[in-house]
Amino acid sequence: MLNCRDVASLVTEYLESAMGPWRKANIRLHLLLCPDCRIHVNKMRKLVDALKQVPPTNRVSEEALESLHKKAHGVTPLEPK
Amino acid sequence: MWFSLIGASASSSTISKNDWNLRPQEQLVAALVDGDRQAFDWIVRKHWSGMMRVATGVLGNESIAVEVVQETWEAVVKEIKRFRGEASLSTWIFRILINRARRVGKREGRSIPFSSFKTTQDEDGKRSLEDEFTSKGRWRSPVHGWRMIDPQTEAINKQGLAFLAKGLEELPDRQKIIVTLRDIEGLEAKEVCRMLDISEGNQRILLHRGRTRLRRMLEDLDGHGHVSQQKDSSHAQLSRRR
Ligand SMILES: [Zn+2]
Repeated sequence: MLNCRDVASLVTEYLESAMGPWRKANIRLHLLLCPDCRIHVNKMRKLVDALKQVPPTNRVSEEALESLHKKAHGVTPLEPK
Repeated sequence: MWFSLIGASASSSTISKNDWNLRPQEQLVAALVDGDRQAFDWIVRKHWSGMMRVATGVLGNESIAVEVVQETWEAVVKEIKRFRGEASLSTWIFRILINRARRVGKREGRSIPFSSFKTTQDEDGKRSLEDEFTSKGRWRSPVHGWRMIDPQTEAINKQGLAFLAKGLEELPDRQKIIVTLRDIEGLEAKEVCRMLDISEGNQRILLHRGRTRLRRMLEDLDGHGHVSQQKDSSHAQLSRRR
């Protein structure tokens, strides 16, 4: 029988569906009986969903984009004065 | 009613014209092959942050990382006509980036993450999973759902997202790379294993550790945000976590 610590350590495997049917059934059984682990799995799902929406931490500047475009398309950028 | 609906769909179609997310990948690839400036800008902006985070993770140096990211885009433009769509375009771009970053890293004599699979103290985190559980493996204190939640969508709210962005930068390099590729850029597990030359098991362990760290970071902040409302209980909870 799995305990809460087991479920918490298997949560990524569970969310990735990277486990056999037997283990999956054991987790489901635990979740059926344990509200804490149900909340935990749901929190991890929301965390993973949130990561898709995370704002960028590094933005490309317009100048960099301009010079990248020119360089990539074989146009030599103007020498800075 | 109908008029307003038509109006809405007309304005949304002008937006979607510039949003390549809503159009098939072949159209984007064709536009890039044609040297379409707007398509190029869109895809560079889309991946820039993730590419910088991955390249910095591999190279441990932001100024070399910028060069590698720039060279990657030059290579993408040069090679795009040979892109056959066996993998997604994002996968293809990140594969070029990682190959380049590793080559440059080797040349500069840097130790490259993933060249050996050895966990360090730092990667395991100061707190192990153990302090959240009793000796019998039960949760030490009741689990609470996220408080930084948008009541309408029930998803983690803007404030939470901003904290996550910051937390990502603080992850150990290998966790940062894996979480960025898998959870931010949405690449397939198999593709990520192939481009980093690691096993699926190791990939999953790093993903799990990265997500766990982010969860705990967010939980600590989540508690703080409600100190005034639930002074006693959240204080007790925070001190138990420490
Ligand atoms: Zn449980």
